[in-house]
Amino acid sequence: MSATLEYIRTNLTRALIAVCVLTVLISYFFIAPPVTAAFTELSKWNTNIGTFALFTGLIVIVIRFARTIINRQEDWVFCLYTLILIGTWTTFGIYYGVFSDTYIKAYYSTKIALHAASIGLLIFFNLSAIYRVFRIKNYRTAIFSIAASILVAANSPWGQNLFPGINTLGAWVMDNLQMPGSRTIVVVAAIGGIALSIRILLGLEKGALRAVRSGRGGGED
Amino acid sequence: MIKSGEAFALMTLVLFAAFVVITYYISKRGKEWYMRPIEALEVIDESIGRSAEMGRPVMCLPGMSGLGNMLTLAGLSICGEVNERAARIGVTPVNLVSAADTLMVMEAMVKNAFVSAEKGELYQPGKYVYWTGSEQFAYATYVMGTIMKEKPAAIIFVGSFLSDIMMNTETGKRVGAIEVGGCTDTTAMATMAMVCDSILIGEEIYAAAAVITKDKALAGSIAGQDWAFIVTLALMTIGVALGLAGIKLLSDLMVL
Repeated sequence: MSATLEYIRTNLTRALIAVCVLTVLISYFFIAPPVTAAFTELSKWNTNIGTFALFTGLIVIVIRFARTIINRQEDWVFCLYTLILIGTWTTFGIYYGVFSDTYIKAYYSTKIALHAASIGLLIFFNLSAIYRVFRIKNYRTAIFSIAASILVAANSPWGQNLFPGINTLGAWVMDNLQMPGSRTIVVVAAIGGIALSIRILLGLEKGALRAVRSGRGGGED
Repeated sequence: MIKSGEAFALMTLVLFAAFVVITYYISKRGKEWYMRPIEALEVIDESIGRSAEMGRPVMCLPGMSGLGNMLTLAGLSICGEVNERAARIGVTPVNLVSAADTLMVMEAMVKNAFVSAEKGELYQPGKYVYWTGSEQFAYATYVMGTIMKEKPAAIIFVGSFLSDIMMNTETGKRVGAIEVGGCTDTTAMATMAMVCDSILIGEEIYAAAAVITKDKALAGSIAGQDWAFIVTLALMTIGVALGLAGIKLLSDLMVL
């Protein structure tokens, strides 16, 4: 790409980002009907771009999976299965309409069954994690284990039967021990998010949407 | 005209933005800020080296959300750095993304990571980034399957996760991977704290890119973020004191 085209591409992108950011900020903070209308229009564009990205993604997946099937690469059977499902559901949706009762019933009757299977797996993973974690090695893990035991007992029928009043203790742990930590994380994360947004908007952030670097330590972008 | 109830938020946003910009330019003029070491980021560095020694890939997951979520952007920041370091020492990166828009950005980032690492000739579209589908358990199942298939030596989970994190981190443990987690959702974070070897807590996720790159100017902008914390803490303390004294000055100001 020539230097002029590169310059135009870079600055056009920056100008578009600046316009979009200002539109969003002004429509959020100020009463400005023309800007709000522009924001609504931009939101529609955003949806269109997202839909286009999804369509592109579908094409990429079909090409990639088809290549895997033709070359009989590893796990080609699963690729074939996926392509058959994509084709079936797309045809089904176009024919009946995605909001039709038939489509929704068929979709949910398969999806819910798969969801249930996944949630069943989750129980086993929880158990295996708890088995590894519930080991008292030092005073920190002791505190963790005691607090966790109280909450497990407070949230289970057997715990409430064996230890009357455990509910109150469990609620106290959640309201007094857990809540300050939880709120601190929420507050600092929100401020950190704002700072990251500002760095990205001003082009200071080198990570997300990164440009190619020629050297380390904040080299030339 | 400013909308009712938004004046204080706008003022705070402008103030915080000013902090970030001011500290950034102070750093550019040569001031060095102290950055406390973040354990999880050191673990990331070690885990990439471990992947190279074991000849196994490193896996990055920027979560399930799209680009509209700040956590995804923070995850992408870290994944970009991990990809570059992995490419530099010949480790294969495996990136799994859920949202269609994130897929495109991740693909571009991986390409740039390979070029930055001077290994551009090794990059191939579709080789390092995989789309898992946007549905939560489809995502979890795809990630679990890929972990079992690729057997990565390190897995970096930084982004927005829900209960799927338990399935993925436990599967990572089955293949003996070092796991680093990062999330601001307190439920998912608790799970990460249980299972992962190291976690990024709260705002550490957003500061990670600055710390990991050791970029002095960017580190300055983190100092601006700390100034914002100090102002917030001061406002909270003053607000509580005034509230206890029955004065509603600050709370009235906040709803202007």
